[in-house]
Amino acid sequence: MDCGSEATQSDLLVRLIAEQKNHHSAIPLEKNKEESIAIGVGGEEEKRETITADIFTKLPAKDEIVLEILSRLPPKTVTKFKCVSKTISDLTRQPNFTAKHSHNYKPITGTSSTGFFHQRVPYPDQDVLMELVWGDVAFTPVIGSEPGCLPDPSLKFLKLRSDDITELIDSCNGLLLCSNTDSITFKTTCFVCNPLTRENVALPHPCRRCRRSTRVSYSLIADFNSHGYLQYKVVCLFRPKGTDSDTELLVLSSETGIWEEIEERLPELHDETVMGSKVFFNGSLFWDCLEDKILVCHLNPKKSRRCYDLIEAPRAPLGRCLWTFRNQLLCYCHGFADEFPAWRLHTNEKNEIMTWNREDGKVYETLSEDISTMNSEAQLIKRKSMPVVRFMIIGYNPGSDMVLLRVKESVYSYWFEDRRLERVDECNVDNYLRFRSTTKSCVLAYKHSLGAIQILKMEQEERKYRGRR
Amino acid sequence: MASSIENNNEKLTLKSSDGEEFLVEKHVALQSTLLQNMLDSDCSSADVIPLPKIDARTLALVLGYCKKHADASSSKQGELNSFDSEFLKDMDMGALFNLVLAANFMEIKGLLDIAAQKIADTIKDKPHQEVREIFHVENDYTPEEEAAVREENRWAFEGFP
Repeated sequence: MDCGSEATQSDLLVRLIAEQKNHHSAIPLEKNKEESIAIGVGGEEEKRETITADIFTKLPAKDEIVLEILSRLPPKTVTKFKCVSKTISDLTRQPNFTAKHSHNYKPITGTSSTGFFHQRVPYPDQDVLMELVWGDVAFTPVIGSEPGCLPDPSLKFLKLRSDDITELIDSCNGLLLCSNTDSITFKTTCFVCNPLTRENVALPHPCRRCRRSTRVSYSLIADFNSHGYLQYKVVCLFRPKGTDSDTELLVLSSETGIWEEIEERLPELHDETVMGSKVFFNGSLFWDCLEDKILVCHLNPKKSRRCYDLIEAPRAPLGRCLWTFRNQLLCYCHGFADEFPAWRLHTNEKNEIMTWNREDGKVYETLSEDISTMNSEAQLIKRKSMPVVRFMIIGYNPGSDMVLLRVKESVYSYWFEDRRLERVDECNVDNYLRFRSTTKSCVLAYKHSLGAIQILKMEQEERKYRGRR
Repeated sequence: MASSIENNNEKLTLKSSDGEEFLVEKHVALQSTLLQNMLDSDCSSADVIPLPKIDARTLALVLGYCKKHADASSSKQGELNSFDSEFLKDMDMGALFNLVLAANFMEIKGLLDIAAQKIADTIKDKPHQEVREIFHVENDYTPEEEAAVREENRWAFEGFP
């Protein structure tokens, strides 16, 4: 209904419903219509005479239709409507609803991200404990999405005590990987949590040596499994201190809930043990964390396939960014002034052999240039040559040519076709962009998912089962 | 769908729940996955296809939508978008619900998307009491239970009455 104000809209709605009801009793056509639904949906041909006054009363397919409508509402509204009735509330907990919601709910055209979790964190090479200052976790919605769209944006629900330190680690398809450090015992626990439902699962420690080590990197992959639960894997790369510098790979899957060490020698971990660029593509994690290789971990490896692969990475002296666009995986290389920066992953039909091809689309050439221009204008510094400004692609919509970039401590959106670069975190500048020189920030793209986490669900199911017995 | 359009002029007859018959060109009917599957599985197309779930008024609307989308080429996406919003513009809740039912039954994804989204947009900012009326659902909570659910999800009510 295209009405001006809220008041008139709801007035009209009430009137329309009233009209609708009147129609049923007054006009034969409307009567037929009512009849048809009662019959059609119920599939009970003999009940031709069961004419109900309201379209929606006692229709078996009602749930299906309500599901279609609710799955297109913002998560906050879905949560609010749990108060409508038990039936509706139960409906919104079903795995088929949460999976449908994740498919049907499109917050903003042009991006698949709802917003960004961010946090001020100390540099990883900082050794003096006193200097380690973690900021609070905070959330900034992408412009246009609902304000207050999360129940607890600073993730206080993970804390036991108010002085505990919560640390953001990674984000994928609605789940976050975080850690919480107890302010008294200094014990750190890792969690996979859904900030929308506040559901969380504590993870066991990967290994003794990894504890509080700065030589560990974690990555999270998550997606709906066929039963509608959020399935995840946590991938842990660890380079032990000392002469033996081989990188160790450990993987925890929500199907088993335990860490499994992969018995194979990996090349060296990237010098900067900060998160390398990562992409979840075709059910696999592509993680640029090793020196000259990209680690590919599969969420659901086929029986014939290993749980991970290593593929050659395009050469890039100053680092790489990975992202997807129109169902292709792209890699942007920093550090070449005269060479083409973008590469495209080419896979054979079985998705087994992967090689990099040069991406010849002219549009990618201008990205680095536009960022450098913007940056030098902002700083009002004139230099002889354009400085190379490093940036990170932190969000993208697989279907559009827009990417979300992190340049220094700010987030920008960039449209390749029309070379439009816009800052998206304007609203929150004061809260987290004023740093001391010893800190940087962790920024993670996030999208809503109402899905239930797989392992917790299994435990609940088991408890229910036990209870019944 | 191109392979299916061998006899472009072929027509089929659809019969609404209230007995009205509609003569439809095959390529228009193919917008519906349900009809497409029926035709693919070689249900003799000379017969009348009964649609017991859909009344004449709704079926007429559905077929109008299908015709527009079947005839338009993919390059005219902008035109189709404006047709879609115009199509639903003055429709009341009852008609929209019927469209969702029909689109869901006939498996017309595009129509299901726009009609369900239209209802979602309309009810988005409404208080939950009003949604009870719109969906005609009974409140099966006791007052205590409702208060508890509301308390548990208090954050979702911020900014709402």
